[in-house]
Amino acid sequence: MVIALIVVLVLVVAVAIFAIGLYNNLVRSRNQVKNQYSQIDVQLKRRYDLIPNLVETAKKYMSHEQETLEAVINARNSAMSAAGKVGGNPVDAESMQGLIAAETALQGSLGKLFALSEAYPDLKANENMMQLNEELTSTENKVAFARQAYNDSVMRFNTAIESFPANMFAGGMGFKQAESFEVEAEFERDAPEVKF
Amino acid sequence: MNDFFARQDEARRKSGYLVFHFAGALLAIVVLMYLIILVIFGSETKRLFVPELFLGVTAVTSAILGFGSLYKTLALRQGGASVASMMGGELIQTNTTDPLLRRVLNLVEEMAIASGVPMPPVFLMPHEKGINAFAAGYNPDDAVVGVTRGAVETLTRDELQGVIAHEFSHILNGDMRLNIRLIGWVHGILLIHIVGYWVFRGSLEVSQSRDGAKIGIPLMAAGVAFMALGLIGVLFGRMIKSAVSRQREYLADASAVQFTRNPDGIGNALVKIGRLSDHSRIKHRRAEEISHMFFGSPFKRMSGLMSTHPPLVNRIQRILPHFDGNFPQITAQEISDVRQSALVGGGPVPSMLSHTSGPPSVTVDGKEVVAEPGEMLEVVGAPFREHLEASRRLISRLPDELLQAAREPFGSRALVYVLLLDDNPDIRERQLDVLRKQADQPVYDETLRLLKWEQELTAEMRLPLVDLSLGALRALSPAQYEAFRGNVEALSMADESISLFEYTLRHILMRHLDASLRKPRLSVAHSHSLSSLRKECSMVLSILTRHGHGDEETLTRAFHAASQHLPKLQNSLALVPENKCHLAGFHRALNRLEKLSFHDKKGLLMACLQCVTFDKKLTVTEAELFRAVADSLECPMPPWLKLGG
Repeated sequence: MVIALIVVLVLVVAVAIFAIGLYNNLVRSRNQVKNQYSQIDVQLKRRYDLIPNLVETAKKYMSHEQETLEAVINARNSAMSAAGKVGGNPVDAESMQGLIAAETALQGSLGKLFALSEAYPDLKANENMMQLNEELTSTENKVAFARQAYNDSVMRFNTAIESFPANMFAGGMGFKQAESFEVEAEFERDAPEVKF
Repeated sequence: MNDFFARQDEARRKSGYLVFHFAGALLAIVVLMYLIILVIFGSETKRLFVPELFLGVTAVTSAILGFGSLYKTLALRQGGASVASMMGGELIQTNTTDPLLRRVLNLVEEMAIASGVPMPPVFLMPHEKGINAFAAGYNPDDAVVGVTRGAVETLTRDELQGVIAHEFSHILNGDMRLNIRLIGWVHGILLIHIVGYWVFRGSLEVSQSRDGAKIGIPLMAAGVAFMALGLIGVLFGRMIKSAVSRQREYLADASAVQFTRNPDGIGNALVKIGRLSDHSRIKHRRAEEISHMFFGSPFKRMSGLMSTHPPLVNRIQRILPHFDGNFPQITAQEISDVRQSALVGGGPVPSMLSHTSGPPSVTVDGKEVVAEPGEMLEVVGAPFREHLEASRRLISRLPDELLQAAREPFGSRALVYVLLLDDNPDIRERQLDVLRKQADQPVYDETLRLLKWEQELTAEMRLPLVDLSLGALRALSPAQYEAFRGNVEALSMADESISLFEYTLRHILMRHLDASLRKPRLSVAHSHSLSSLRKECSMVLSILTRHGHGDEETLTRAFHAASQHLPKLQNSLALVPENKCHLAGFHRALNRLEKLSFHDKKGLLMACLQCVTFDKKLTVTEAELFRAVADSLECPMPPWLKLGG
């Protein structure tokens, strides 16, 4: 009887410890996703701060392209509010999709702006513009790098949710798949620069 | 006061004693449990000692306790970051632009450089309005600092500096290792209580079935016994935990005063805890588990044997003897002043107390060295205000672009590549070639961009920059880290003759980052004896001696002088011939010497100092090389004062 009691107790304890370990692992990976996102957030904010300056400088030279400039500002504003939504809870797939869409639009309109600026040699030679351009490029590199780290953590989190036996209770405990952050439009902006 | 080495060994010994304490507790629980079960089930046997029953009780009880404490210890060994996120902490990004958070990070940066440890991640507990902070982690490599929103918003720069110095002293004194051991054991005892509860619940179910009553009642009794004994055990465990913790808090307060030489800072921070209506309250439901890691008691009222912190007034009066015990309500004006001054940044340097003694003065600019090796080591793990000021000055002298790069993960990789580039143009060309082929285009470009500021980079800036970068590099994902690590390896393999200093920088980087970004090593912490590591000692000392050059006779004399500091090994140390001195051997030796006891590490470091100062001159490179070796041995050394004039 004593033996049976021991076996039962040990089993119960082992299962409990295993379950707690699984749960803690999920929480840990989710926190990782959040922490990695905040690094993107810092850089995105920096970028949203740079864009109005850029447009302000461009305005002086490209007065005929009012529409493009406005499109950039609008895209920047909606991307900023989308980022604000994600900031609170980056694990939420829906708001992340919103940010991806807004960022893609922003990349597209920026790409258009840079493509048009090819026709304005004065603008391109403007020192302020060159500086902003360099800063924007460097910020974008940082965003891309932070995104890579974020996507790695999302992949680990999603794998943790999907694998057995966590998949049996992860959904019930409110763990939902996170969305990775992929923006497709980047090449549009780099394309005109190849000429140099 | 004991020096750093004695305190480290003492902390390790203390955790050894704790094992005895808890083994005693386990034995008491087992015996009592056995007696209770004998009374319940013993009606059939008349004997007092039933071996199989005793064995059974011992097995079950120790299995539960072992499981519980092992589980908790392993969970905590994941590092301070797991404790911080357990408490709902959010990582403050190293490049944050929020002025109040920037201020916290600046203070932690200064403190990290002044004490020679890597910049720890800082977590904010955004929902806690009380003034509190904690340090957690198994060792300085995975240490984190956590602060509450209340502390960030209500404390002035000086007060916050005092609080952070207090937390750093926990990190430097090895308190955290002790803390984690304590939490683990108490958790094991707690599990006995919990299992008792389950058994009790289970027995209620069993006894409802028709023929279950026969085993149900005894089972219920056994469950209750487990619950009761577990509870008593937990009470005792918490009492031990609290007693240890109260002593440590006084020690940390005193260290914070030494560190900042500004009793008003930490003193007024404690006074503010009394003045704020939330005091140092932590509302998080799991605050009890780590209550003794906090700066102030996380609970509203708790005194006597169970409280983990000494009474607030006593703590204040030890620092500010004239404190009258009054806590006037904090005003809104004060809080807005704090925010205002954070926006302005910096602030005046507070006046120093003149009567306290400063660190031993060592002139390190190629001129004559006056201090003895033993004197120079006094500052290890126990920095002074002078070091704090020196590190503040150093940060302000750093080229801005490099400082910004060190604060974010993207740029800090490039910065590390820059630091690892050799002075020799041929080797450098090969290294850059490796980067061009292996690294991503953007990071290669960034490396070239940062190279522009290399001229302004002096030797004493390199270790601090590594310490800062380590903070940002922890944000790499494991995949990114492996790529980065590969590049760093390749850079130092580009030429076998990479300099000793660059090599040591690499060693520091890998040692710290591997600990936090790869799976933590779960090696049992056993220490090697000095005599079993005599070859390793010879290797390190020989390489350091040969670094200073000179003819073979001077080298032999220097080596002999150094070996005087290791009396246990005096006769068995031998200068390794030049062709046998290679970096691979140095690397292996450093890794193994890490396992020495701190008493022996002190002897070894004195010997190392003797090697580099034998010619009575200490160049900046030699001085920094020595700091790097000390860091590899887990002995954080503050920056040299008056370095380079």
